[in-house]
This record gives sequence, structure tokens and C-alpha cells, in this order.
Amino acid sequence: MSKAYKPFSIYDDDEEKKPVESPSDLSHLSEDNLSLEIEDGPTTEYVKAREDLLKQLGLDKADGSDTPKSSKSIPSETLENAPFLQGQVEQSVEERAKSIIQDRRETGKIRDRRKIASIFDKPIEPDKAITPGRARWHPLSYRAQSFWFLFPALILFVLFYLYPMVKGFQISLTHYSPLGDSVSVGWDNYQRAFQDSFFWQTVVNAVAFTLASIIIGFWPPIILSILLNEMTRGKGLLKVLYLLPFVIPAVPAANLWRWMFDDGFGVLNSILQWSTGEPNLQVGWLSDPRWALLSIVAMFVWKNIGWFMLIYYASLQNLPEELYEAAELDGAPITKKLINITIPYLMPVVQVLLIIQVLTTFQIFTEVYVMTNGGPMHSTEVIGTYIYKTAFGAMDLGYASAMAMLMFGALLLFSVIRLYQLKQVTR
Amino acid sequence: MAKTKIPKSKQTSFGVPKARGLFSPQERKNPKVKMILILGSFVLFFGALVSIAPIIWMVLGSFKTPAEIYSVPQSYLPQDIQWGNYVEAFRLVPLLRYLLNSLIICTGVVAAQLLFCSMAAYSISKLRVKFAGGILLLFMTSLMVPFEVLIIPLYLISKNFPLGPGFPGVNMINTYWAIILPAIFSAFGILILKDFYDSIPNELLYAARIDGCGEVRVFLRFIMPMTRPIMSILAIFSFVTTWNSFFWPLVVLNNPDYYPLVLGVQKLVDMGEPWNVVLAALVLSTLPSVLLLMFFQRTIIRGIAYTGIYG
Repeated sequence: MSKAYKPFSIYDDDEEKKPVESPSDLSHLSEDNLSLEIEDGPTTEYVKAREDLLKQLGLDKADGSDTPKSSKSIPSETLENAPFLQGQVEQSVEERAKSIIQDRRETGKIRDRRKIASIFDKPIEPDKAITPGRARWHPLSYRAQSFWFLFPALILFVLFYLYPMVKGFQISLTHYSPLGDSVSVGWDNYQRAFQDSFFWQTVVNAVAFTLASIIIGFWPPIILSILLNEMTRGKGLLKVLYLLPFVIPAVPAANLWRWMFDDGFGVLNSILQWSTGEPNLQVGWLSDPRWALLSIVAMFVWKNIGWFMLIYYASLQNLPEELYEAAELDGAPITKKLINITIPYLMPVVQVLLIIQVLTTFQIFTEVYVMTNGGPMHSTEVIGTYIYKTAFGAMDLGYASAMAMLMFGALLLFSVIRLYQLKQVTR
Repeated sequence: MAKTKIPKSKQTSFGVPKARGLFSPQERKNPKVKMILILGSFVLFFGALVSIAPIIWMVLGSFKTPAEIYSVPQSYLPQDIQWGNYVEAFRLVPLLRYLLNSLIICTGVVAAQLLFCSMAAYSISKLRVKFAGGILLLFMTSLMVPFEVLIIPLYLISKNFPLGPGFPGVNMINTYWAIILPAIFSAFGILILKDFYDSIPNELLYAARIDGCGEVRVFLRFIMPMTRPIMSILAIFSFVTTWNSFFWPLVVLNNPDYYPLVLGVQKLVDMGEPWNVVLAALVLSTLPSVLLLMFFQRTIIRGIAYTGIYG
């Protein structure tokens, strides 16, 4: 007999509320015997109990069939002769077996498969539409509209993000030649990158750039935003002034700083000479390998400080004033309020912006390209400029792709954190 | 019950009461705190000065003569204003042509991005397209990819753009398309719009549908006007990003007829002209952004505040 799984409702033991699936299931309901309780014929427990009983009665070979449906009622004279029934209440074998099973079930000795199944069953949703079958998908159907709304973005995503990603990885495994015949070279490009001292130089520079920009430029926006939040007037003007460097394009900004950083006629050296009183003091801001990277960091910090400050400021605007008031009722001094309320409230934003800063500084290109283009003795060569030179100067697309992939891998941890943060915000 | 009105002075752009600062009104009367506040405002204004001083210096420099620019004790104010620097900049490179190119590219990107991103967001948020969550996550992975990874394959794709099976590839190098098409898709925009759409009650859309609107009309007549604030934020952001973009145009354009303004100015700088002319060109390329910030400062600042949590 097939033991196919059938869904059971939570009203498993209550016969009346049992959902009826098909007319064929009705058949067992009419039978006034044990199969009422058992869906797919006798369970092993039942068969065992019945066999035990019949053995004790000495009737185990009397009936060929072992199903309860075909078993005939046992003659009463035989029952009277049964040793264990002497002096007991009259009870048919079926009733006896039934009560044994019932007892065992109540004491937990029989594990009811149906009860377990009912726990894992999904409840039937009451408002679920009953459809005769799966409708065929048709491009002009009403339901297909949701897909067509998504379609352009999906195509653009596949064409300009997904496919280039895959293709970029493919290219990184070849020695690419622009005229056609590109030779597959396996992981050679990656090996080459690991042995390339210039590549390691770019990595070191990128890490140095990131660290320097965090050390120099990460805390001022926090302080400035807290100060800005205290101001009673002039906020609008201040916001615009701070935002101005962020809005202007990177190319004029970088050129402007290149001019100001100039050794001979740059304004920064003039200010330095004027403030120290030494007319011959000259710092090669961009021509000295020791200073070049830091100079670009300074320009980067100048450009992005207003943006970060406004984000912190917006976050401070949402800080509920009840927190401060509660602290003041408890007599908390200003420093306590700052450390225990303001800073913790800004912490989530700090985390997000830290990750963003790491990601942007690693991917920096325009500022470096304009100001030094790799700089004196590769001291400012970052990954972006090196990839650009390799790919479009030397036309070595395979090697450049491999370096880009390595960069992607190095940034993966930060990007995943970033994605996780975004996902949390979206929820 | 009458609605309590928040006074104008206490309103932010979102209509939420303004948060107070760290100091309570009582503490503000304390002379020590007053000193701190005055010091703080000095720091703030000094910072603002540092922010704009280079820009002012650039404007001043663009009016100087070459002799003034290269004089070693700096001359701070131009003796007499040299408009000739600007004329020279216009003569050397077709700046107006670059400006037009920039405008064409930015308009194309902004329009297409707003349309396609909001359509996708509508589908994900309101039309309950299948696998909506998965698709959104897939889109978001595009935020993880550094541009350096994409630039080489994108260059090859634009060199030989596949129109479809059976068609020869199209060379998009030195066309507007090469810049516009890759810039249209923005996972960030879809994310923000999707979040905004989630806050629109479904009952509004049900009402429109019962009145006989199709999805297209619901989208155009209800969703689009309702989301105008967020759309304007997104439009300005994508405009500024496209306007400032440099790396991709540098790779994909080598015909000066198609240069956007930023790239054209960089080419002028690379020509090795004297700094006063270069500075005039730099001022010209900065001017549109400054004007944008002046006219749309509320939207931009609100946008940064709104998208700040997204980063």
C-alpha cells in the first residue's frame, strides 16, 4: 500500500473537522472500524498490537488476512476461552486493540506521524485565489506589466555592469591585443601583478592615502557639525560655503590646487614665507616625493569636508531633544552630554561614512591624474592612474584588468560591509 | 481639534520641529558657554573661509596679467581687471561647444535615469514583480564594483556595441551615446526611489485602478507627480555627477568636438597656456556648478540630508 504523504490539518484527531480532499478519501469514513483513524491502511503499531493479541488468543493463523477491514469478528466462545479475558468486561478484539493503541498514544509510546506532520504543514491561507492551473505567461498580459516596468533598468544593468564584470575577468586571464588575437595566459597576469614593484607601490600609496585622509579629514566634519548645530544664525550661509568645494568639478578644483601648490609662484609657499619670515623657504608641495601625496590628501579633504559635515548635521537634526532634557534633569554636565548622547547618536553615521571614505579614496583617480599624474618618482601613483596608464597608455588591457580585479578583491570586504549597511537602512 | 501649527522658525524642510543643540537655554547664559560658542563660531567661519578662499583666489587670479600671476611676492588684488583672459580662453578652445556637449550629455542622462530608475523602483515596490528582493539586491551589487574594474570592458563594449544577433557591432567611441548609456543605470537612485514609493499608501493606487487607470497611467499621473521632491533631488545629484565626470569621458572620447566642459578645460590646461588664461577657463567651468548650488541650494542640502543615511 502506498504511503504517500498527505497534508493534515491541525484538527488531525477530530474526524469532523478533517479537510476532505477527494471523494476517494470518503470511503474509509463509512467503515465503522479502526481504519477510521488510520489513513493509509494499518500502521505498523496497530499490526503489531493486533498480532500480539491474536498470538495470545492462539488465533494468529486463523485468519489469512491481516488487515482490519477483512478481519471478521471473533466468535464469542473463543473469546471466553481466552485466558487473559477471564473475569473481565466483555470487549471485542477490535475494541481492545483500539484501546491499547489509545493508551499507548496517550502515554506517548506511539509517535503519531500525523501530529508531527501537522506542525510542519503550512496553514492554508484563507484568501488564496483558486486558479484552475498555472496561467501561461504572455507579454501583453496585465501581470507582465511589472516585468516591462523593470525591463529597461534590467537591460542596462546587465549590459553595463554584469556583462562588463564577467568580461573584465575574462580579459584579465588573457594577454589582450587590440588587433584581435588575444592569447589566454591563465593566471599569469595576476602573478605578474604580485611581482610588479610598481603595483605594490600603488597599493602602498593607496593605503597611505586612505589612512592620511582619515586621520586628517575624518574628525573635522564631526566637530564642525556639532558646532554648526549650536549656531543660532548664519547656518544657511555656512552650509552653502562649506558645500561649494564639494559641488565644483574635480578637474578645476585639482588644477586650482596645483597652481596654489606651485613651488615658485604658488600662494601656499608665499604664505609660508610670510609667516616664517624666511624669504627663501620653498616647499615642493607636489614636486617633493615626501609631500606630494599629503598635498593631494589636503586637497581631497578640502573638497569633501562640507559634504560629510552636512550629513552629520542632518543626523544631529534628528536627535530627539528629550535625550538632552533627561540628561539635564539628572544634572549632567556638557561634556557628559557630548560623550554619552551626541557622539553615540552619530556613531552609525560615522560607520557608514568611514566605509564610504575608504571606498572613495581607494578609487581616487581624477585628483591624482590632474595634479601629479603619478607624481615625482611614482610617489603619488594610485591604482586608478596605474591602471589607466597600463590600459590606455601601454594598451596592456589584460594586465590592467587583472590589477583592477585584484583591487576589487581587496575592496570586497569594505563593499560587503557597505552593502550590509545599505540593506539595513532600506529595511 | 485644530491642528497645532509649527512656527516657521521652528520648521525644517521636512516640517519636523528643529532639534535643539547640545546647550540648554540656561547653559547658554553661562559666560563660559558663551565664550565656547563665540570660539566655535570663529572656528566655523574660519573653516568656511578656508573652503572658499581657494575659489576666490582662483577668480582673482583669472583677472590678473601674466606678470602679476608669476610675480614672486604675490600680488593679491589684480591691478586692473583683465577680461582679455576670458576672451583668450574662448579663442583657444571652443568652450561654448563644450558647454553644449555637457548640457546634451547631462540632459540625456538625467532624463533617462529618472524615467528608467523610477519605473524599476515602481515595479519593485508597487507592482510586486517576481523576485523583487533578489533583483534589488542584484542591482545593489553594482554599487560594490569600483569603476576601474568596469572601465576596460566598457571601453571594449563601446568600441563594438552589440545591437543584437545578426547586426554588426556599432562603434560608439566619440559619440554622446558612449557617455550617456553607461551612466543611466543607477542602483542608488532605484534604492532611494523604492524606499520612497514604499511610503506611498497602496489604497491611492487601488483607487486609481478602480477608476480605470492602467498601470502606465497610474505611474505617470499619480506616482510621478507625487514623488516630485525626491525626483528633483535625484535629478540634481545625477546632473552634478555627470557634469563632474572625468575618467570615463577621458577614456572614451578623443575627438574634441564631443568633449564635455570639464574634459575640454583639462585639454586647455594640458596645452601649457599661461596660468591666467587657464584660470579663466577654470572659473568658467566652475561657474555652472556654483550657479546650480545658488539656485537649488535648498534642494541640494535637503538631498544630502535625505540621502545621507544611504551615503
